[in-house]
Amino acid sequence: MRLVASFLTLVFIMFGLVSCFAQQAEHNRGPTAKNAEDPQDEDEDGDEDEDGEDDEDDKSSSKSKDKLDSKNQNTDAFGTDISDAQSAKARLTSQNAVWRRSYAFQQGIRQALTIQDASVCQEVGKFDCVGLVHLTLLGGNEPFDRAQYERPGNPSILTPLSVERVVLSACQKRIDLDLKGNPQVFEHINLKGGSNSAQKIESQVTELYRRFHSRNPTKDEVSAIKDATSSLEGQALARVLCLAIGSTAEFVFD
Amino acid sequence: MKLAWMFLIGIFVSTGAQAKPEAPALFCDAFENSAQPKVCNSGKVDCTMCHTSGSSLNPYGNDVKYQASKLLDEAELFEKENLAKVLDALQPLDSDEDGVNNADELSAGTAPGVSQKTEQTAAKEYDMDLAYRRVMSVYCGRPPTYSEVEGLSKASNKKSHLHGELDKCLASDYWKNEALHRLADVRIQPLSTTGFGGNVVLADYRFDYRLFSYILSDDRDARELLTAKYHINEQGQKVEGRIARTEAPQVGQRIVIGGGQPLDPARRHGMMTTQWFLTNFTMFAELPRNTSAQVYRAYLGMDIAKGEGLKDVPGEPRDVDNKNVAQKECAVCHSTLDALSYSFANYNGIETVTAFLFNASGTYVNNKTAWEGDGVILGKKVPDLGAWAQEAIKSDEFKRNLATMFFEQALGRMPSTKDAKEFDPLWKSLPEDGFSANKLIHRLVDTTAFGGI
Repeated sequence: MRLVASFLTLVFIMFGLVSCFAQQAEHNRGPTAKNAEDPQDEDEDGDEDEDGEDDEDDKSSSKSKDKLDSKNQNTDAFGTDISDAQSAKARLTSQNAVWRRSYAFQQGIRQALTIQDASVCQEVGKFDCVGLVHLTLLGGNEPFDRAQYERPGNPSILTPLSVERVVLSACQKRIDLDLKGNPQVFEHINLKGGSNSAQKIESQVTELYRRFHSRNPTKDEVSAIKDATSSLEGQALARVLCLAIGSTAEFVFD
Repeated sequence: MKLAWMFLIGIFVSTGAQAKPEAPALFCDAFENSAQPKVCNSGKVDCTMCHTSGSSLNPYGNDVKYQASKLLDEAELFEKENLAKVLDALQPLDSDEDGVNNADELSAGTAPGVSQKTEQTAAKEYDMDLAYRRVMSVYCGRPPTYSEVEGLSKASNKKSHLHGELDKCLASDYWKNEALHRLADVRIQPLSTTGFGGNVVLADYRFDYRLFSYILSDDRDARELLTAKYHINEQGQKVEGRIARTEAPQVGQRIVIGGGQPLDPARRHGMMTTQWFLTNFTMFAELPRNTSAQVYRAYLGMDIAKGEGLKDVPGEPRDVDNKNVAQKECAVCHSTLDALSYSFANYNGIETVTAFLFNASGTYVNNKTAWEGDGVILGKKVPDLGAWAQEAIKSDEFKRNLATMFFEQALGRMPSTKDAKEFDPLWKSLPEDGFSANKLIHRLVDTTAFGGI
């Protein structure tokens, strides 16, 4: 009983945190980031920001801006293309949004964070999160041993927790890999600690948006994240950026 | 504490209205002294008139229950005159609160227990970017990358680009060996304990998965789901003859009585005659009602247990195996079900001694029963299972079920009445498309239901 109460309290606190973060994000405003490289065009050597020099950021920024301008679509006051973001918002508020289920969800994370392992998360280091422990909550079914012949129709109230659990685990996996050198995802910020320029954080946010959502962030999204993470640095910053961007509804619904 | 629980459960059980198999026909009989509503055009309604799933009631069903509780005992409700009184009292109400009263809904042929307001809003505008994201997630098993989305935006012909990408997805390992397998789960209903490598091996359902996936990929004819005379081996090759079991029969810590595909190819009819299907669904039954009901459910989209697809056959059920199904309450379903099952009667389910020695589970035995020639499907009398399959594959139900299967798989919901304009052409175009699942999916991707917000 005590265990159940603790669990429910934990759930309550997590939902509170998520909703606080969302509210904060909604009210913040700031400049736009436009300088992340296309993660799918990434150079395996991609270490241009490792030295922390802002001039490198500027080069990158200019390169990306050209790329974005070439799309010649809706832009906000800062020149960022927002048509993809508008489209994402429209589909997420529509009744017709389609749940991206367990397999595609996990493949999406592997792709976004360039993780080669088949599994991006394991409970107690042993049980596959997506294929086993959280399978049903993430929209899958296991017919052979559990006789679950049909997938669930709708997400459960616990689905957001499973999404966060898996995304967070995958983020940490990527951070650990990037810390070993030759970072592939967290290449714009100083993973080992120390402050980061606004430009660097914008680049990292854009990088993650492109990787997780296949689009550029809007200025509102960038500023909300920057404000929310202003006191963080190093791994903690990377973890929060990755979780906040990777666990949004946009990554779970098409 | 225990006593309190038992008391509460007792109250719940004793006051719960029970679904009655005769109710779908009785519902329409109750209107015999007034104008027959459109919902009764076929003489009976589906169980979904009052129920959501199982014994759960929808708003209309709840109103029936409440109204009955004011006027009658529960047992009395299922008498025609009493039900008529109850239904009549509900006519002016709007049970599902969608702005149309029950009488008008019944006359129009819509469900008074399902709000038209809560039905899926029809998507309006086709969004190529959204369609592309969905194509990638649903058919490639991953979202598109940033580069791929950029590629679409730069494509001179976006629609052509989208369909080109879809073709690649439908040829992928993900589609053939994961997505199609998950579609097959509910149709095959595997169980590792009794499948290949399990503790009590009845049959090897891996054949079922391979056959299902093979037929529904690479533009093959989906009708072979019910007509294929071949199987697919582990290397993905077609095998025409009998297939021996790979694991020797044994009794001990593990029991192995099945494996391979021992059925005479001339008696094969696709998914419904694999060794797994016949052993798992027929088991020891003399008349394989469960087997025919599963084919009806899985490949024609009608679940007899939910009162769907009931087509009374005069003179049935004869209760040929003395299961006491001839009484009125049972006959409502068994008139259709028993006639549907005769064509399966000469196929073994689980054999015991002969299976161990000769791998006889799921094989055909001439003159096993005298009922094989008495089969009736969709109102047509058929001499054997081959003819049964032919009637099935030429039916609208088969086509509609295929389209529904892929629609639900892609969008996570069943097609609603608001999708009808786009959904009906999907299944109606199957003959023109050679019953290709791939072509059906290409058409589906072009609908606003798929690509619209």
